[in-house]
Amino acid sequence: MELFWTLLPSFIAGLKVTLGYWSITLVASFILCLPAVYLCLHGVKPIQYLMRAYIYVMRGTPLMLQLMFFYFGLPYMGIVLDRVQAAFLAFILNYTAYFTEILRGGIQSIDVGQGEAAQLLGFSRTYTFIHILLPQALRNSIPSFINETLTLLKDTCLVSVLGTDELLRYARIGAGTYATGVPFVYVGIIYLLLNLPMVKGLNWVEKKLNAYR
Amino acid sequence: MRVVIEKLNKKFKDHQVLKDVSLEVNDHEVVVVMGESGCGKTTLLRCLCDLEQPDAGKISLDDWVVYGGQSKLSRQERQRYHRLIGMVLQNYQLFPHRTVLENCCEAPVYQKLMNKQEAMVKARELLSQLNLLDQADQYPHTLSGGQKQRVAIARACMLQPEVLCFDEPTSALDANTIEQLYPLIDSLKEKMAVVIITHDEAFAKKVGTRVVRMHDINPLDEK
Repeated sequence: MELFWTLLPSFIAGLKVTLGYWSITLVASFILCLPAVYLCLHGVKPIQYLMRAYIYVMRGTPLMLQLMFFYFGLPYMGIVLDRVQAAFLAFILNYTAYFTEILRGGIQSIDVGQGEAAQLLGFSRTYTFIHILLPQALRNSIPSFINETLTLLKDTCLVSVLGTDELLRYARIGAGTYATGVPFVYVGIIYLLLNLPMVKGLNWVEKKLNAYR
Repeated sequence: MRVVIEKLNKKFKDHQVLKDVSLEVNDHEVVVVMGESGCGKTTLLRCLCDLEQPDAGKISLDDWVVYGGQSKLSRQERQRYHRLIGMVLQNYQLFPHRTVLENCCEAPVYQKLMNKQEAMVKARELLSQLNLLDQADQYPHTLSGGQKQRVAIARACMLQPEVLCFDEPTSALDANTIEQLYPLIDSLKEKMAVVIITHDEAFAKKVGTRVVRMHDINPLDEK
């Protein structure tokens, strides 16, 4: 237990970084996926193809590869990003693609009659998307969003490949310094404890949104 | 308002559904279009309500030629058209995330026909006439089939249409609820023209001021 108290300050520092990546990526990706899904479904054809290609690339390649490309690869093309910028770019682009795909599925699972009813009432396409389809799609997609949110929390440890001081990196340093695997167990427990309120909180949101089901 | 459909044609890929279909609907008339499944009656109604684009033919409302070779309707024209012609879809398609009252108020407020306050007063008045006032704050999933249908009628009537179309209004209702539909359609007739698509012969005879057989107007539908 003494080891835990010794490592606690570095775990707290790491936790701040982990939660920073998690929360900013979550909010930014969620906001960006809304126009992205609109473009996927209602954009002009070339934009739709472009969006499909973007989603295919982001979902079809490992996140770690994307992190490494943005940090180590881009400088060869004359674009130099620091590790925080590269990490955020990779995370946000990757998770926006996943969220867009989840939301697209949510929208396409809605009865086409809902769109027709909106059309019969004279609603514009944009109004229908925002006020009629999106609220229903979000409700349909909540379980998938919860899964992705939890995955994102675990994925944040990938930034350690860029040398960022997050939770896992501190555990590795602690394990090396004190020649023990126990810091990894501590970090595992921290991740589990972080997940618990998130699952509970998101389930609560799901229940609230299901009031009209 | 007089609706005139002239020589309407509609094809889905290689399958011609409507061929030179003509129909007239006059004010305060209940026109029931009957026919077997697949005879094109729903397609006809969907063309009339702008849910499908006819390939050829003409649809006019009084002197306004809505379809007939000219360029596509502008957004404003389309909105005006949907204000004049309402439709109650077969599955009603109430918005599940809106209460009954919100379902009714949204369109007139969106179309700037009235402000929210006026819309709520008008909707409550309509819901009261349809015996739905107690359900005003409920979500659609708590309603019975008949109640949902009446909400859909109220929602369409909020735009004060000149023509109200029904797609198979009896298909999901039991005999008792169908009975309640007769006086309702009768009262609608006082204010507007009504077009009903059905295959229910008894219902057609009871509510229709005119019953039109699809095989009489669509040569593709064999007797």
